[in-house]
Amino acid sequence: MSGLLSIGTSALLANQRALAVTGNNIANANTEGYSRQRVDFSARHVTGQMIGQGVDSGLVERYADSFANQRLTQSVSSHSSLASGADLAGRLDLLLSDPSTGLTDPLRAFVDAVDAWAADPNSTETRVQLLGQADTIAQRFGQLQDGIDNLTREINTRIGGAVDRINTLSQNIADLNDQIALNGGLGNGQQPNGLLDERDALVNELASLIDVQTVPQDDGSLNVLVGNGQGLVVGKQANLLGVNPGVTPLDPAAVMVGGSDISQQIKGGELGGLLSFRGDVMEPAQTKLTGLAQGLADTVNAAQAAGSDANGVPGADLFAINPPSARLEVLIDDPLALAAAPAGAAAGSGDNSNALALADALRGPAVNGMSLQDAHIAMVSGVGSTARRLEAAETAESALLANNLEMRDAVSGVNLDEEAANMLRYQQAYQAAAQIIATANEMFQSLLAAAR
Amino acid sequence: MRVTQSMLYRQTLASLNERQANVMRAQDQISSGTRLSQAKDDPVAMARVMRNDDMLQTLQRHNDNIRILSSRLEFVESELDGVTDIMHRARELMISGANATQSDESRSTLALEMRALGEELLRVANGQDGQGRYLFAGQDDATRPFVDSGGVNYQGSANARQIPVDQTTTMANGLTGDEVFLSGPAGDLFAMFNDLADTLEMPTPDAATTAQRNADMEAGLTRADDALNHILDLRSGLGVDLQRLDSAADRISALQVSLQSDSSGLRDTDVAQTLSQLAQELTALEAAQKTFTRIQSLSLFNYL
Repeated sequence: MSGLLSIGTSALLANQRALAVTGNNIANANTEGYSRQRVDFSARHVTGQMIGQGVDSGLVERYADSFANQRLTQSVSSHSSLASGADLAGRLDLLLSDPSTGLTDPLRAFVDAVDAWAADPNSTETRVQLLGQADTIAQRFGQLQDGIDNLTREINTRIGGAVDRINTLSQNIADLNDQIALNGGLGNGQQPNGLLDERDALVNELASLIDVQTVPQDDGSLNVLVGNGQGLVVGKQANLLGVNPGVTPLDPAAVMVGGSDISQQIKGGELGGLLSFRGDVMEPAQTKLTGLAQGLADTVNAAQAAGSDANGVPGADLFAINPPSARLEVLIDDPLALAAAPAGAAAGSGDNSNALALADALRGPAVNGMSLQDAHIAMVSGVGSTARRLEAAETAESALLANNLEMRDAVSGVNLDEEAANMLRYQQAYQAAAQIIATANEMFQSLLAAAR
Repeated sequence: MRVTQSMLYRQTLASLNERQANVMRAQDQISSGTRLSQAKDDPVAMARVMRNDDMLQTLQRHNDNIRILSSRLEFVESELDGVTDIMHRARELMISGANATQSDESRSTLALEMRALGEELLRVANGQDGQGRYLFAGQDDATRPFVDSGGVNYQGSANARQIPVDQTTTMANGLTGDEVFLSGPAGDLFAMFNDLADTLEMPTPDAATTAQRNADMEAGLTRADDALNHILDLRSGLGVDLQRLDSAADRISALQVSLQSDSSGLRDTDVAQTLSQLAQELTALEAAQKTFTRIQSLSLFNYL
């Protein structure tokens, strides 16, 4: 009878525990990174006895597939990198190709103003108009340079922010490593389920900032490596990343670990996206923009120098540029200083051959063998293609990410219907166990009554 | 595969998001009228449209040049028409002066008219276009080309201004005073009128001078003929230029139409097609919303 009582008690306790775990699953159905849990039941028996002694509720097991988790971590990294890259490339593309910010209209208007001036070289209107367009295009180059400078500053700020967050996360992961190791690691006993979930979530958050490799250790801690295997977290030790901001706010910030620059090795996460956008999209675009400004200044200045202005003196430079910035400065404000006539022509000459030569030169090779307009089109459509490619890659990668999330959830996610069914199951078993205790009690009462 | 509530939730959310983005894009394309708001929308089409637009701007400029050039050449032609009339009258005076019935006095009257014609010619040679620019000063069109200071001197340029009318061709925007009035087969036309008047005025006291005058009259008539033919040649040259300008203008407008239709096909929203896409997206969005509420209402807990 005491056997029956203890069997009933063990069943009562085991199912109560299972109900508690089910309740916890339901409570965490929407918790990001939570892995569902269940209680291991095992039959209790004593060697040499025919009848078992009830049920043992053993460990609370956590459903997790480390491979699914790793795949998820990787795709979080790639997706986050592509998302930040695509966003920035789209913004640079908008800056370059939108009619209200790009060079398309001012460049076309400048060439047209030269054409108009060449057709009517001594008219004050065409000369004033041409100087006006020179101002407009110089201003637009300046605005584009401002736009790129703003992107540079934003990237520098975001690199700083990402590094700060990475350092916090690394420290948190190192702390968790310590606690998990203190808990006895991942041996045969009860696993620190909550800590493991927490650490997986932190690793994913870290992966959204920088691409990481994880290496599980025997004591249950997880080493996190970045770049070419530099340890970000080793056991309970976190190595902090640093930022080398350069000398001016427009210098490209570099990501440092232990005194060496690892910017080149970062390929994933927001940092990877920022760095590869900066290196592969923005800096080449800056070079092309500067080349364009230089080409324009050189072409116009060469034509000025080859001609004679309305006062009969050799033409002076119209544009000045100070590379690597693409900012142009207009040096002439006197309409008479534009050189329409060929060298040696007298003051007031109506000869337009030098202006015609400029109109031709503006359509001839000016930037790496390309005409100004062709070089401009190449720059705009180049950035546009990259933005489009990154956008398409981001779409593909977010489908992969969703897929990997599903693979993880298929193992670890909470299904409420399943939990409802479990709840019913454990509740019924609990009621039945209570009935066993009641029965044992009745049996005991019967025995007492018989002995009275 | 095991399915969880958060999976369903996430998936529905993602598809709602995507549908809404598509709806927004379609709406934007319809309201802005363009499907190319930035290069990434279609980099190849964008490059092509930019090139077309550059070309269209150049064509527009050539078209303007042709318009201005035609108007100016028409001015020149009408002035040459006046010169032709003057030349005809000079010939008539010479023929009439050669008539044996004329006396020295009546010939002096003719000579007077001849000198007046010479002055008229100088007035025409200093003619201006609608913008107040001299027609016969070559490219120095702000300079009065002919100044009479004991013989007419040419102050203009020896070259006419070259104006682009297509990508490879430029055309002169008129004739220089030099080629019209000074360097034809009849030489300096202003001097010619003086010479002709002098011939008409030549006194003929005896047979020798009469014979000399008659010979001079004949030579003068030939010279006037040469001058007339020279002007007529120049006029027909202008006619050819004006025709070339007309056909260049026609070519430009044909090119403009084809470039514009190319750009429009690449850039402009196909409203009918986009509207039907929008309708499709809206239906899909509604369907996604409905299925979401249906799926969310299903739960075993409802039956406990």
